[in-house]
Amino acid sequence: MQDFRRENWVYGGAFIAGLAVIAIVQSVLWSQAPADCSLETFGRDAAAAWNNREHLANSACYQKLFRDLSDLDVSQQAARDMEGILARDHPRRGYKIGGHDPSMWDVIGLPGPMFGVIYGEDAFFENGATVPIDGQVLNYEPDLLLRIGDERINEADTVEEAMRYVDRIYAFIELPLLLGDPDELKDGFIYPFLMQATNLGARHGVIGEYLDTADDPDIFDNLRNMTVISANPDGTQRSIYQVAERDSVHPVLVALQVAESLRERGEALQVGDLISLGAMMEAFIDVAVPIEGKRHVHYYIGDRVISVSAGFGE
Amino acid sequence: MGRILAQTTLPRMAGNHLLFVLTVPMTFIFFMAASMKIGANWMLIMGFDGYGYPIAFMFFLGYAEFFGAISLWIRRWALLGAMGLSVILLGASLTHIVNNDPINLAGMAYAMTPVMLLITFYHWRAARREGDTTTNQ
Repeated sequence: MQDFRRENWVYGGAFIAGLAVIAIVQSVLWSQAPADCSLETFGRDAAAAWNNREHLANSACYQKLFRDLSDLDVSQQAARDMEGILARDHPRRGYKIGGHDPSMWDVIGLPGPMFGVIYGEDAFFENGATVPIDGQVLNYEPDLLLRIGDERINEADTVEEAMRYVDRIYAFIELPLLLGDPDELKDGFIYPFLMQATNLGARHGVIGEYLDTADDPDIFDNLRNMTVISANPDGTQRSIYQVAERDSVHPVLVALQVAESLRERGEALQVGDLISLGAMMEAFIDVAVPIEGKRHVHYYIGDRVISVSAGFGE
Repeated sequence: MGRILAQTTLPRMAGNHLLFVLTVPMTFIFFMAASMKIGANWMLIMGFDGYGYPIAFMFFLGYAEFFGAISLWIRRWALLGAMGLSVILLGASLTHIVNNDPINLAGMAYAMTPVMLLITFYHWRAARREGDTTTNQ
């Protein structure tokens, strides 16, 4: 067969070898160590961006830096550096976890969950509030908030056990602040090692109706089978998320992950602490823009429905 | 013009419309996938990092997909190119299976693999027939 003649193999093989050389050269050039940023400057730069409602300076450089390191511990230390500065001026309001589902860790290149601490007097808004965007890039995320009812959650080993120490569940729209400059980061907006370093973007949220767990004897199963529907101001569906179909684990696993993250810092969960479970929507990114009216998120938990509404202004 | 056309796979496709119908979308998909890899798309970087594959491999696959897609339209290289693209897709599918990736992530590779194998078969069959014709002349 003409297609398999010897010269085709030789020329084809040489061409592929040439492509391999080009790929190696490109990867070497791409991996050149960034020069405009360092781990030492990150905490200060990130806290300044957070405080001043600006984009993170040298975003692409930091993104590359954290990618080259690809070390979750290093990113978490960078987040603690940032937090150390935030904590001087702002009260701690809650915790959050990113990437809680182990089935996603390989996909996004993480060895474990990401952890963030929510700071700020203005962190939480009341149900129905119009949140001022104020030049920030806030991601709109239907979420859920757990309130800790018993400090024994710090000793819990299983999700079932942890569930017993959660006393209330709030409908919650989280509005994490994407600190990276979108013009610099483009398709790498949610690069996890940078997300972790920026304290998972913890910034704002709108707290809605709640459900006391004691009122629902089947709360454990109902949370696992919960459906979360987000609706636009005109009533059209914005997103739908069926937890049992999308997640390989129970959502309250997040409480155990927060307890573990705090334990590593020598801290512990306390009664009344709030934990954000993470985004429950199809898309990763849905940047909040000023809108007329409110968006609504409804949580179908067993035969109960709790909701939260929020608008967004300039 | 006729001589140029004879160097392409269009005559093969004229005799096998399904080959044309399958090759057109596959070419576009490979161009798209190649541009994301060569352009160092961060979603792909996350994936390759997650699988433990080096970034150089991502760039290499991007170039291989780009030129492989072109080869599907050049008679001399179509069969070898289709075989190469089949190997890439089989590797991609295997990676998804080994990592137990969800279907929304792996579905594209799973769908493209049999299509690419079919394209490879069509080119192999056509090349064999063309070889027989040459021999008989």
